[in-house]
Amino acid sequence: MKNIFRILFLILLFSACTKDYLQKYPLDKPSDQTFLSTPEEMEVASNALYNGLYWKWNWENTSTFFALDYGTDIGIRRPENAYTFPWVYSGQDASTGIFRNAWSVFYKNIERANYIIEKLPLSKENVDEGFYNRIMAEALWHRAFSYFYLTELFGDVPFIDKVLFNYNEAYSYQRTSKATIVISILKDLDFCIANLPDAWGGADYGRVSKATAGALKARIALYNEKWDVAANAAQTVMGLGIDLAPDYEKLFLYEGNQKPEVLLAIQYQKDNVYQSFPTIGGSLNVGGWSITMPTRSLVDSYECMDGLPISESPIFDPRNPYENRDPRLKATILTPGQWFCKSLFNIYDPITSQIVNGVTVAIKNQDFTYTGITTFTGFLQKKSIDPKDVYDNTIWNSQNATILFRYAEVLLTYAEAKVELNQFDQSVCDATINKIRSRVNMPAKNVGGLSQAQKRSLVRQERKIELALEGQRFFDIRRWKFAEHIMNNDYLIGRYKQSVLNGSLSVPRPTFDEWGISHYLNEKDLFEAIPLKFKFNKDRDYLWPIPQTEINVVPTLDQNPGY
Amino acid sequence: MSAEYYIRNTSDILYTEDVPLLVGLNGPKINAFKVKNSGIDLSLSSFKKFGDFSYEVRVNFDDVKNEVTDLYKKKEWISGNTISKVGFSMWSYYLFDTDGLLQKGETQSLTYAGRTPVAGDIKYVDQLTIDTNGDGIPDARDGKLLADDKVIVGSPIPRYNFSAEINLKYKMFDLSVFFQGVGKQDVLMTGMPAWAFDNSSGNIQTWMTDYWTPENPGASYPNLGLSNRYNYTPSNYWLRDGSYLRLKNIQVGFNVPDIYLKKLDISAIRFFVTGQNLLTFDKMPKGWDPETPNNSSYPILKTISGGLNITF
Repeated sequence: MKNIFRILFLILLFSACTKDYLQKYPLDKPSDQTFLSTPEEMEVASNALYNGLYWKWNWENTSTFFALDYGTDIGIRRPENAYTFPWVYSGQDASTGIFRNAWSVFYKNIERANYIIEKLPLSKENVDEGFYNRIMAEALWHRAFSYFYLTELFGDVPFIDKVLFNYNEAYSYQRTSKATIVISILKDLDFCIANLPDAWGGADYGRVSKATAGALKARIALYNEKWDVAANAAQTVMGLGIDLAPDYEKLFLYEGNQKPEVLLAIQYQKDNVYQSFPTIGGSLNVGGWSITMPTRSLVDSYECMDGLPISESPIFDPRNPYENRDPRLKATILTPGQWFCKSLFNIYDPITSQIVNGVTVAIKNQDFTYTGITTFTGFLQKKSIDPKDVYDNTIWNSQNATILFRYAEVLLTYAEAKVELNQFDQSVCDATINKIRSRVNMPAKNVGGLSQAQKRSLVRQERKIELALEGQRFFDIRRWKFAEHIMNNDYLIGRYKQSVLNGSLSVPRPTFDEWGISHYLNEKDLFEAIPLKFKFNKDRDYLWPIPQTEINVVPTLDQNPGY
Repeated sequence: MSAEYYIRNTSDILYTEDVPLLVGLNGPKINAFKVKNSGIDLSLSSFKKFGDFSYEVRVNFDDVKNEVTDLYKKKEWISGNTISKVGFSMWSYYLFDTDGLLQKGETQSLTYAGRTPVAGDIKYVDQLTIDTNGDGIPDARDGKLLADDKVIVGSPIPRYNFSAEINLKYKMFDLSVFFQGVGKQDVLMTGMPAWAFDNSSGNIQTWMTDYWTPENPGASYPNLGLSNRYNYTPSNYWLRDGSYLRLKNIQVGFNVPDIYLKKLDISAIRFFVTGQNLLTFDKMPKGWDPETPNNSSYPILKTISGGLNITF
């Protein structure tokens, strides 16, 4: 009897095991077999795409998109091993870490996008079409964004448009031409423009929108000299009813984070994801490390308030060189003599002033000593450093969003494309350059009678000033093909020498060369030297090398010339 | 006395497959490498007693030679400053070769990190890397210092490990000493402990004061300077002999004779003084400890302590 029960029990046990019952997927988390079948999973997958925007290459915890401008003529980093970008002195090679980091960050994001692009169609019937298209568009946008940066930095790169579940295929990949990749991603962006919403609100704020897609398309087309495509894409964005934020300086602070001008910004979340630029770039007197330094060359390129360069303007006072200047100068750069974060930025005296509990007190001035850890150029970045972070003691874990796309860039793209198409007339100038200038009360430019070359300089000058230190200059000096002229310099000028400060030498006005770079006749008498030399090998340095470790694994990848 | 010779072949060493980064995913762990360890173990011990005096000596010597025998699909595996290659020890140092310091009057056109060397800079060696006559053997120099100019120059795996323990006893006194040493070890010095003013905020250490000047051509340190990635790059100039012999422990003790104890109803009283790491013979610069080769962990301390043990 006992055995019969036992046998019956066993029969019941095994007979229950039909195929369906064994095919169980986890209920508490997504399963690899079914992932991307529900709207929740699609949402989660699309969230992960935004990881690609947090491109950081070292412990500094600042956005690399932003930091690239500190490897150009307008900004340098502390001149020594661990900090300087090696390409400013042509010292990079294929094993330099940042190249591998960039390669890895973008290809990881491309994989995330490819996964969605490949798997989403399998569950098309589970969700409504609008939602489906939006998720697809977000994935296509991020893939386009990643390929855009890869092609700008490395030139031709392997073009992977599927998930390599069988990774053995990857060992023999070859590079696809940049032109082919660009055609493909521009086409993808048309889908994005058609299917992304005009704006996002609430918890979804920070996702890519129609305007972001248009702005990316305009940027890619501009960088690739497809002028009509760039102008059209920019015009699409200009038709969306977006306007410039009223205050240039505040746009980069907390209160500007969600202004309509911001088309895409890296969003941060308290204690979880944050950026540390206020520490990296800030003054030593308020707890910063002054690793990043805007150059005098950038400072000199700001016009005076009368719209004339400092080489010509009658209101330029060489004794007070930072007064009467384009307001964007003091909004972007901490110049000596400015009060910022309740502290007087002073590089010439051992004592400076700070407001403590409402009272001005003298403090030991850490920005004074001319050593390796104070600013060599005598300037610091102010743009995007919110004094609130200093007061709240959050200069390491700042939540201040990092702007990647903004409306002013779209206007500048439109202007530049129109110049190249030779269609840049006064009405285009008023709608773009003069609109941007009027925000900061700079006089309008009159382009009547100007040649195309003169208009080109005008637009490039405006772009350099408006977008300074936002990560565009790095690419601009490359696509304008004059990096070898401005990035070769044996004597980088730093702070004024004592002889200038005590008045025994007067400061002359600089002259500007055809690339808009200032020059002084006797610069070695006037300025301290920065222990750094700019060097640019035009046959090599326009592109980064393919990371050596990648070539080791994928021998079919050719290296870029010269590396 | 015992002696042992062994060969241990280890296969299927786990290794994360080098999936190309362009796949965007991390590689799986696979069983890949084979490594051969061949070594000897010698130990010798002796114990003798002559009346009130006794001694005990134990000496150990071991050596192991590590050799990669199979590297899966790879020709070589470079990781940072090290390389693993068939026929060489795992994680061999893979660095630029150098030929002392550039002296006054000498010139060298081999630029690196944007710097043309000046007197007092390290003299790097440009290896033969170009094959001009097509025989498959490189026979010309390219005039540049590139990754392919690195050579295998040593190994961080210590060889010829030695230890000796000696215990002496005479009447109520005892003495025990323990020595330990390594006969061959390469230490790569990098970063702030090795490079003066590295990161512009570092210090200069006393051993660096023997820096190069025209008056000090035989210096043990290059010329001093800020922001100098040319000199401050891992090369065999910074690879130092890390062999050492160290008195790890010494203890002198005195046991109070039993006759004094009986009255106190105590079974044992012992006084002792112990010293740790009191003596080291090594060739590293002052401040570098050969036992903590990367100089990054907490340094080995010299300790002297005394004690009294009473057992009731």
